[in-house]
Amino acid sequence: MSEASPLTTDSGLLEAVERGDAAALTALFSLVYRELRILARQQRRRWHGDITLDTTALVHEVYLKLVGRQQPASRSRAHFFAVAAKAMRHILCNYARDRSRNKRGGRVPHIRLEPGEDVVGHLQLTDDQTERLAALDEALRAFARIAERQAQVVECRFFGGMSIDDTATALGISARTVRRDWIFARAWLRREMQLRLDELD
Amino acid sequence: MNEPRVERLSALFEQALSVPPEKRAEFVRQVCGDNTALQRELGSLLDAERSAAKYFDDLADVVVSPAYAALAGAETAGPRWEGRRVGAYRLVREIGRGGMSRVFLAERADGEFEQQVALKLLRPGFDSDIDVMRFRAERQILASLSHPNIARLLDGGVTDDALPYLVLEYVDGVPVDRYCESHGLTTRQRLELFVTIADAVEYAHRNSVVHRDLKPSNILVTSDGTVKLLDFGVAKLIEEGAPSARPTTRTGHRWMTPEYAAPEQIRGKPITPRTDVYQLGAALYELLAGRTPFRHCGETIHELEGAILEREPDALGGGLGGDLDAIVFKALRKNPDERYASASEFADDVRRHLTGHPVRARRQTFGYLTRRFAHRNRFRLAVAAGIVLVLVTALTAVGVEEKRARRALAELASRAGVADSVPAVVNELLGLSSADTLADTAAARGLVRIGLAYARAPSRQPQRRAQILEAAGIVQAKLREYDSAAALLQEALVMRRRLAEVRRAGNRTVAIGSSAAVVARGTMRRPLLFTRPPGIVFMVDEDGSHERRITDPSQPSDAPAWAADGRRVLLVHLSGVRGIYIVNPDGSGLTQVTAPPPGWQDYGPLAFGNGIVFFRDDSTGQSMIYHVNVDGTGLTRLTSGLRDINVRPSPNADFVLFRRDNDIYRLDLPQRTETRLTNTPKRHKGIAGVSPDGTTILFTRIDPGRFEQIFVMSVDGTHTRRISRGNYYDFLPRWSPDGTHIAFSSSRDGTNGVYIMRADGSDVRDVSRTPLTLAMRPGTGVIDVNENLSAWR
Repeated sequence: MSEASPLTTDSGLLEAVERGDAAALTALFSLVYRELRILARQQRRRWHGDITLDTTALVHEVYLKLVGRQQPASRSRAHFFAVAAKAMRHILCNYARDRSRNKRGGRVPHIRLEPGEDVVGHLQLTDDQTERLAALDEALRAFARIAERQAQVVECRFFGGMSIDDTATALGISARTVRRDWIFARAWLRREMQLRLDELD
Repeated sequence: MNEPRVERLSALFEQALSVPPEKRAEFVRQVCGDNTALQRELGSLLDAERSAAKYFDDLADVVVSPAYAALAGAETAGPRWEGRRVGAYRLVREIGRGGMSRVFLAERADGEFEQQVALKLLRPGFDSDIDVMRFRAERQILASLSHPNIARLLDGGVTDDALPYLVLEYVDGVPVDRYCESHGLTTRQRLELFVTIADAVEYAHRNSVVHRDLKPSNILVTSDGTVKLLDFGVAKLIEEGAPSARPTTRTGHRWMTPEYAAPEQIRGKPITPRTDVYQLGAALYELLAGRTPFRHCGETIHELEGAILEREPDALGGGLGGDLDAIVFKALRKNPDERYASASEFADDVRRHLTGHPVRARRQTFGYLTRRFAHRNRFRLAVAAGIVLVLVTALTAVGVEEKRARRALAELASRAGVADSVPAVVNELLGLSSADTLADTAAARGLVRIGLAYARAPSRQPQRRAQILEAAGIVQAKLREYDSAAALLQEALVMRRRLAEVRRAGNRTVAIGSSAAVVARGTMRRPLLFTRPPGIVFMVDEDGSHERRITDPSQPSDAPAWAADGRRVLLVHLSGVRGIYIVNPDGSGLTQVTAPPPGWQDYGPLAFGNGIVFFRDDSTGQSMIYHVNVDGTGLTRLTSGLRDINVRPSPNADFVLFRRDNDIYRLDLPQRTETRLTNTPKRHKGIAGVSPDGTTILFTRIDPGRFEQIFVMSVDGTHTRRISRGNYYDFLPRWSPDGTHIAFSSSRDGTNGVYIMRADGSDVRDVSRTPLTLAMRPGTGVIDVNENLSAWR
């Protein structure tokens, strides 16, 4: 890749994210989504708009464009997906939370990611789906307070569609732990969400 | 709840899940003891777990996937493709759609001839010329696949708007699973259908094409019952032709069918032919059990992936246990190395099951072998129960303690009145090998089994071992188990040769087969070799003097050629064991190199590197190309076809040419990739050889309205041109050692003569009356001459 990429080793952005730099994470968010949109537009043009999106391929393309083919380090790649997953969670959950509160007449805090605004505009979620998503968000926040690692696994697996191995690499834990956490977290969240949704009805 | 508590809860939860569902309540009560809060907590989690997988999968499908789609701003409406023209084709209607492609029924737009094809548009498009080039190269390989059970790739290209497309043979059929159901096929019929499928996959593998996406919807059966595999190698085209790397994670849609994905595909590990073996296993599982291996454990794709990575599939059920479970499970192993090594090995094991043989997938314990034997012979054995006892003991004896067992056997046998010891059973096997027919094939198989176990006992004398292996091989050939027969016979031969060499060396250890060295070309003038009827091999110096007989007239021989060491002669025997032999030019030291099963004929041996390439005709008219070392070891089948003959090595030993169904193929070695160089199956051809510089192939072809004539083409199949001028019957062309001239036979004036011309076909001279040509005199029956034609310049 000849053109300057903001995510090459030189920029140190991915490395900063790996170190837990919050500013770097935010920067990565917007980068990822800007690229996703550009790529998607290209794809749509190629396919005459008639398209069934392959999310994974899409994210891969973004990754390759941002990070470059010459950086095959699987750890960086896994981190990238984890970041994309986190971003997707924020976008979706913010949207669901807003809509859910709005509907119930509560105050809507307009904290939206800039690119996310566009995304949710295209989402045609039913009320039921919105409720479920909001319940998930709430349950996941509660869960993260008592089981941070397990909550991160959910983020990667559910919001990022990441494989067990990629999740393991991104979080620096074993694949076995990922599997165990994932099954446990799912049951835990399912139970909590049921309780919350029951309360609402 | 603090951190350690979550971990403890999670650990208990995991343990509880490993307990069968009906025992979980009991388990929870036990581990929680008096702690009712923990008991409640664990119980509620286990309750929630039952619906959790499906719940999250649904949510991912309806929320997360569309979110990514929306993020990309994708819309669903688009222009119609029907009626559009793509390349030379017009799209008629859409007949299929996948995550990465759309398939249309299409027809020739130019109306040249009526041809319905399936046109597959791939997505996404290409970013660079390199992608396009790679796509073309890949397409070339796929187009060379020619197998009756594989839908052919006919054409391909890139649309005006940079979408790659493939044009494939249109197959009007139904998926194999539906076919089995609607025709009510029995288990046996399904297995037979499967063997056909696996054989086609093996063919592709031998041509270095891995399918990667085998599943019932890619395996169609036409109305006349013909199996057709679709989309061979297309998955690779899609994933490698795409600008992105292979997707290893997933959400929503993707090209790979998760239900049939092999563990290494989910993990993003390298794809090998064993990936297809896995998918074949999944397909067989579905054909037999009516469900995919992990369907029940995965309402969600995530779950499914987890199951594929870690769970063992359930037994097939429905009374199909035992061998079939073992076979399918072996194919479905998580670790590719533990699966069948190839589709053919897989197919063979299914065949073994179909013919009542012990399958390789099961551990070959003696107990199992005995059960198998007893099962095949259940009627006979029911009559004479004593034999069962003898055989059971015999099998045990071989593996365990022979002395004691022999005594027990003798005792038992005296009562049952049959073979009284394992050696006696072996003797019976030896007798059987010289018998004309096998009266009782089941008994013969049992004898082979026992004999082999006996022969392979570590304490067995090598000579005795070789004798038994050979007998077993001959009996197996009579049982039409040719593959194992050929392997056993060759093994016995090699063993005997080693024994002989050790004897000659006076018990000193000698290195076997390492002495042959490649002699630099052109450094040695070797006499010409030729055969006179009815099969006597001679050699003669290049000037026509010093004619010497090499072989004994009582042993018909043929196809002489110089071995790689330049000192010994390779030839074949036309009677007895019709294998390849190596002999000194003075006729001494005749040594057998190959041991084909009775009725088979090895033919056309030529030096290749330090070894020998040849083709082997079986008794049914099929022929295959093999390689073997001069010492008889390393016998390997090189090609995938069943009618492969006329093998010619390249000067640098990096490929061989061969003929299959009248077309010329190049087989690159050692990678063993086949490339079809010509595509005119209706025109008869004969391969003469590769030019000394390795660039040009000399061959003959019979075109409509013409006699056999001489042609050349590049080793990649391009630049074909006719060398023969006029319309004569030109045949048996040979390169001169320096590659500047071609010598050939021709019937120009009513009689056959020998001619020589420049490599471009000019300057034809009649050299029939030169002394050298006596080797090609009418009546001498020259099959082949040494390539050394320097005297003809």
